[in-house]
Amino acid sequence: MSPRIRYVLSRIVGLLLTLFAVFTLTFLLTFAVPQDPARSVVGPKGTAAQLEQVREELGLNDPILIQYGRYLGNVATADLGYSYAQRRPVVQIIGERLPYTVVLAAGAIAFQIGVGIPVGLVAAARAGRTFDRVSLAGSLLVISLPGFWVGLVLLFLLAYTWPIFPLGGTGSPAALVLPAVTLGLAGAAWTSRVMRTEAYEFLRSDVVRGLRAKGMSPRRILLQHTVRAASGPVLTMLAIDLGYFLGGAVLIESVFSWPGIGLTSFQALRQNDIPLLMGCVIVGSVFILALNLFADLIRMKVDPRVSI
Amino acid sequence: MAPAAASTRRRGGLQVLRGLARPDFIVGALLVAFWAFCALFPTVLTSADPTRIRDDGLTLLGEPLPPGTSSFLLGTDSLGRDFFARVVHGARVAMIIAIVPNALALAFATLVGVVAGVMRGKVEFVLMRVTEAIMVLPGFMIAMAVISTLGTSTTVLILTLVAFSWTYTARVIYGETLRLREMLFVEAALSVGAGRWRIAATHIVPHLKPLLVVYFTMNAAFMVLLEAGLGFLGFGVQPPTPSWGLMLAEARDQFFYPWLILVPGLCLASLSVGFYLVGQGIQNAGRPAEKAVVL
Repeated sequence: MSPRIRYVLSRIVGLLLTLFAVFTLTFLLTFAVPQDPARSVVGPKGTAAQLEQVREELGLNDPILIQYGRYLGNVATADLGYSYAQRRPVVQIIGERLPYTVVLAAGAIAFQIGVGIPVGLVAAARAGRTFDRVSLAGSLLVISLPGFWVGLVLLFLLAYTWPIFPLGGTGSPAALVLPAVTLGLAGAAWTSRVMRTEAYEFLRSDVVRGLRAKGMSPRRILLQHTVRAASGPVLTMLAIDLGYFLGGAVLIESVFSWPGIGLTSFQALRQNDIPLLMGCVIVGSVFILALNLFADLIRMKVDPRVSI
Repeated sequence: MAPAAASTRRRGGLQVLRGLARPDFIVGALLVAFWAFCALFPTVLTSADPTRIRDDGLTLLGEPLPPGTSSFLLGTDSLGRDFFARVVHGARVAMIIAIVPNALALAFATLVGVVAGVMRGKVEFVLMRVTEAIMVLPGFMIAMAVISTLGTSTTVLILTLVAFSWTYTARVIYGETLRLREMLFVEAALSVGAGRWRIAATHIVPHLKPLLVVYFTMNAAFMVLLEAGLGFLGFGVQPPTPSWGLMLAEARDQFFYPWLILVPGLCLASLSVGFYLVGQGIQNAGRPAEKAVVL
């Protein structure tokens, strides 16, 4: 087996172990909640007999290890249980909400790429000059702002005071703009800084001197060679960010009432809907883990020097 | 020998000070100092009680008073409380969150990172895998769940903040420990018979100090923002304690009264910018300025 394949396999094993830890943690959380699941199903008016019947049906009278085993088996077969509040399968609810999270994450990443990469590239080419200084100060400011507050202010300015974008909703493409920009803003700042650092290193290398000596135009050096040279760390970062966005942007989704996984988890928590909350945590972890693994694979592909 | 060494050290200290004497570091330090002052002595700036609902705090229609009305510098909030007093007193929660969970997380991260780096082998493997596993959890979601399960006391809040923020720093410290243990002075200490823990305590941890200072300041900003986010969803400090995140939560749909949204956010932003600038200033002190590349 080549070391590369062995590395990928060991990462996948690690990923499965982490998932197992996440499942165990979510299972333990259900026991920590001072609330009887059977009571949630029956409702406040249920009789003691009904309560007992539901406990039997849900298997709540079984020993904890049996419940744990059954839970792991269910999760492994993508059965995340029934939502207490909505009285339908958790998988069904998440299936409805997931597309919103995917669209929002895609929009945020697009903003991150569209703004972060050009800004970082130009800043590196103009290192030490005004554009570089302004972009550095700007990125620092953006990183220090509370994202959800930026969302509120954008809503106030661009949806309330000057109604260019809708205040909420998901119906039109315009409704995506503010949430996606808010979610991608800090990432765009980080992307620009990583891009700047990488591009700056590359531009000082002998490769660039050689290309210049051969008469290649600065524009082509920047757009073709520098972007490629810097792509490793930038792509890695974007992949990891995408994982976290897909894992549910609780705050941003909540500010914009965007019905994705993040908002769903918050609503589930508010309604004491533990199965739905656990479902969100599990789906979120799977995305983050998978994209983290993907980021490592990109790094390996782009830069073979990465130690295995 | 001794005087020469002392003078070198003094010159080193001066160089660091000169490196810090840059406008961005000074601005950052002033911002942090201002909010630290508000946190320690809020009553110097305002004598009003931040939690008292004032009879004269609302208009006849029950609306909050805008900034500059009668005796209210920043107006009142939707319950008729003095908003300036709430903002100033809110600095205390922010500062506590920036320091207490941050210091605990840093101490824990140092412990994990140094032990993993010094022990190597199985201990290293287990510690770093666990660190990575926690790093990739959807932290915010789990933090909400934990707080709502265990209750919204300050202790739970602080421990939750620690639990989800030590991992990244631990990885950095682990990496630095690995680098330090290859240094000649460690080899020298080993050759005269120093034990593993003695080396860790006397040679590795002291060399981590600059790194720890930088991460303490940077993470302070992160902590303040994280607590504000949790507070915004109702999982942070509980009312009626004045906290900026909570104020934003109370103001979220109040577009009629924009100062209720703008002011707490600007406070949060100025404090976290301050911490970042200080951290960055320390990091850059003594580093030569980059030269422009001419393409």
